[in-house]
This record gives sequence, C-alpha cells and structure tokens, in this order.
Amino acid sequence: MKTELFKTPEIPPRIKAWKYQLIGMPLLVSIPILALLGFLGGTTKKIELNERDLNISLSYPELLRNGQTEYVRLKISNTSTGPLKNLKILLSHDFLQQFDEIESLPEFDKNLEVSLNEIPENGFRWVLFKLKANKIGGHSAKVEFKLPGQDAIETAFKTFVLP
Amino acid sequence: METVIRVAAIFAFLTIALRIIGKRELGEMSGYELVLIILIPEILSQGLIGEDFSVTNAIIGVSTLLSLVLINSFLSYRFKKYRNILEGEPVILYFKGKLMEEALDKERVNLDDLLNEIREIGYERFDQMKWIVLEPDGKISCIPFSPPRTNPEGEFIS
Repeated sequence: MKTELFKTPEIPPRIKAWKYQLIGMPLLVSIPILALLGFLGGTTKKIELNERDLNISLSYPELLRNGQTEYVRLKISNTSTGPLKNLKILLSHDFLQQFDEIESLPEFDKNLEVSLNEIPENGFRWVLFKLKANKIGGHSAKVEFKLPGQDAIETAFKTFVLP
Repeated sequence: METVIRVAAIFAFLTIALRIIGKRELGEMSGYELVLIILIPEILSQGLIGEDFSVTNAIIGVSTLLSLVLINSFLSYRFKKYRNILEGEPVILYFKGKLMEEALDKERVNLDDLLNEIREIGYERFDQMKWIVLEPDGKISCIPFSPPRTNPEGEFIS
C-alpha cells in the first residue's frame, strides 16, 4: 500500500564525505584490494634452474602471515642420459630455525638433509618442505643440491613473514 | 585473498538471511533470537578467518567487512531501489480503522504487540490511530488522529 505517508521531498542524493573520511575510506578499502592482489601474504614465487644434469623447479612462499603453514616445493628432473644416484638436498639450517613444525617429504636425515636415492633417466622426483611461520621478518634461505663427486648446485630465496 | 572472499561471501549471506527473517525479528530480540545472535558468530568465526589467526588476517577480515558496509551505505544512500532491497520498506499495519491483515500475517505482528505500542504513546484504542506502520528497522510507529494529552512535565496522561 503506497500512500502520501512515505513521500519524501525530492532532494537528489550526492556522494560527499568529510575530509578525514576522504583520506580514511580509500585506505580502508585498499586493504582488501591489496590482499586480493596478494600483497598481504599467501603468495608464492618460482625459481627455475638448469644446471649440469638437473632441471630444478623450486616454488617457495614469498610472503607469509605469522602462523600460516606453507610449502617449499621442489621438482627435480634428471636431464642426463643415465640415472642420477644419491642426490642430497639441503635447505639452510638458519632458515629452518625461523619456522615451526618443519617436515619434509621424503623425510630429513639426522643432518636435516633430504636424500634421493635414484632419479631415473628423464624422470623426476618431488621434494616438499612444510614450514609454519613463527618469526616475523625477512628470512633468507639457501638450497644446495649435492651429487657425489661434484660441486654443489646452489640457489637462494627470501621469504618475508608478516605479523 | 581467501579471507576477502570468505568475509564477502558470509557478509552477503548474512545480509540476505537477516533480510529474509524480517523486520520484526530485528527490531525486538526474543529469547530464541538472542540465542541465534550468540550462536551465529560461533558458527561463522571459523568460516570467516579459517585457520589463519595472524594479525594481518584479522586486519584484512575487519577491513573487508567495514569496506562492504561502507560501499553498501553509499549505494543505499545514492539509489533508493537498492536501499529498498537492502533495508526493506515501511509496511502499513493499520490505516483509518482498518487492520491490514495480510501485512500483519506476513510480518508476524500480533494485535497484542500493536496495542502495546499504542499504550506506550499514551493511547488506548485502535480507533484513536490514523496510521500504524512497521518501520524498516523493526520498530512500530503509531500516528494518532490528534496529539496525545500530556501533563506540564510532558508525561502522557491516559
């Protein structure tokens, strides 16, 4: 039932705001936009390495939030003409100490190294490091790949943990 | 990113759900409605922030919620149709001697509630009312034919 009771004067509504709102509102709205664009954590980055007989694809969390669990994923492919044996992977201890509940797949040995017994010709293996962010700030990591009788292949990355 | 989507989805769901349950339920809380209001956040809290209890995630969640409120407030101010969809329109429950039974049924307003509202403004009968309207915020407005009688202190005299 529409009646004169609900009739309002015709004043066109205009969008206006106080000065402090003009500054504060875009700031407020920018936070979810930044989060959607990945500037507030949850982003991963990828490194590709092609050295000697190995093709390594490493993805790591670039920006994490404190308490968040993320993975460093390694896909190690054998590009040689024969099988690769006894490959050892070491993620720097300084880096691991910045995290909680560290796990790896395959499991670490007592030196916190991951060993891959054999990667067949043209084959590949996955290695996962599970990390739970514990300390706020930037943490640098170094990853070494050691094959018996050869110099280690190294790469590095940096992860930043937000509060 | 996940938090923004979670908060936006739950905000939309709650806005629609609260709109569906109707004005009366929002205007006055009965016992079971109070239980609902206490239980809903318990159920939704996990859905809102997941397992991420970081300060950053909390700030993202709150700012997403406030941004949605802000955007809705601008849209409902600027566009009347949007405001009507979001907040609802006033509903006439009584007009010049006639009770709008369909509206009373749809909004689940009983006559005892109406009489209660009439008494609160210092009147005693329906026939003293010109309009009784259920407002979008759930409150009932009673508009009498003549102003109520008051004593010099402004208190109602029945």
